[in-house]
Amino acid sequence: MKRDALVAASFLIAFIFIAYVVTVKNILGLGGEELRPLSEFYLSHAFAHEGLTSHSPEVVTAIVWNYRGFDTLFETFVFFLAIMGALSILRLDREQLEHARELEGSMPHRQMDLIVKATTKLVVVMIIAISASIALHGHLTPGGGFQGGSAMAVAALLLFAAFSKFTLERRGLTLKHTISAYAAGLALILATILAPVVLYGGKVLEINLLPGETGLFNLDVGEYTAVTFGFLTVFLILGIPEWVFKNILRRELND
Amino acid sequence: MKPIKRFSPATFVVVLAVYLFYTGSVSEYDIITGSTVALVVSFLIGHWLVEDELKFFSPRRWFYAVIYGFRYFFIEETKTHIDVAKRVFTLRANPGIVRIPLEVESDYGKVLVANSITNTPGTIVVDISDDGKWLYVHWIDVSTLEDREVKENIVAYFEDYARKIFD
Repeated sequence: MKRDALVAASFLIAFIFIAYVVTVKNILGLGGEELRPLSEFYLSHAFAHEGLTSHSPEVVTAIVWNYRGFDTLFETFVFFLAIMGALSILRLDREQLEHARELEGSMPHRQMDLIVKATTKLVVVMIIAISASIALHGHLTPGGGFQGGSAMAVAALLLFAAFSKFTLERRGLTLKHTISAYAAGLALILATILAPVVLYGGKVLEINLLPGETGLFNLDVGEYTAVTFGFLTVFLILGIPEWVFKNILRRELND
Repeated sequence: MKPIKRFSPATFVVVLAVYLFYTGSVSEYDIITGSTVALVVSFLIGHWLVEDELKFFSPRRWFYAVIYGFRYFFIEETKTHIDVAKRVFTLRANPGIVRIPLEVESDYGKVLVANSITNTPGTIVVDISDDGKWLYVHWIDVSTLEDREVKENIVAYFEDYARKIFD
């Protein structure tokens, strides 16, 4: 008990000391009013009226998709590989899916009560609107495709919890659709990245050649679609209850 | 289903309103993108959110909703807060779970009643029966077990308004 208090107090003192040294004494050069050369460059070039510019008043998005665009591009590829990995390991073939649906149907279905369901409906619709707002204003305000897509994925998870994966599939949201939409998002990103080369003879990812904000806007929308449906694909695969999955595996072993 | 029948104007309004509210500005760009999103969503989910469009666009229901909002948040909340604050100091409590019959029919009405009860201090809805006709409420002061009196004490006017707004 006494030792806990000592540890807590020493951490508190250490943090206060670090905060004091960094902010007041400015030992790392992070504080202060004056801009450093790099920040000045970004601030003056992200939204300039002439010369090389990203056409974006939102410097973070300009950096993410333009100044270090390749990094973000490869992040998208990493995400793509993760989803493809999950798909190739966990997917079921048609026969197994049929079996999974039968098993799920054979158990007495435990439904959430109507309060949870009705509230989820409203909340999901609101989350969809908000995530779209985050994504579509990515080139104007903080936010962007990935953030919007993640918010949208939360809506999907809520639906999974309050209703069920199989209800969604009966309503027409199947793996086929999510993967197609995911591919469409990736295609939009790829098209935007290659457009400067094809149309204007520039370099790959030189999106400031495209008219106005279209480059950043397209990338945001593409990333939004890709992330939303990428997550949805994974959730649809992982949404199969454990006992159903085990049952299918066991059957495969016996065959 | 025919596409035109699937379109839900109420969902369109809800999505567009939330979109603009969250964005915090009403420029040309916001309205165009917001309407596009709202159109896509309202075609996708159809009448899943709002079953009866006429009910949604009835001004009388919205009027009651606003009145209820003011009456609930300013008067009822204050009263119950003071009541519970008194109990904190006097330590007078007789907690227990009681059962309350519900008359409101629509799901959203039931949600409004249940959330109103939970949001007032001293009462919490713990469960709702599968047929949606009974609420189980944990009550800080079980002074009576008679159905009608319990209801008068806990639900008060919530249900009348819920019926006016949603039924």
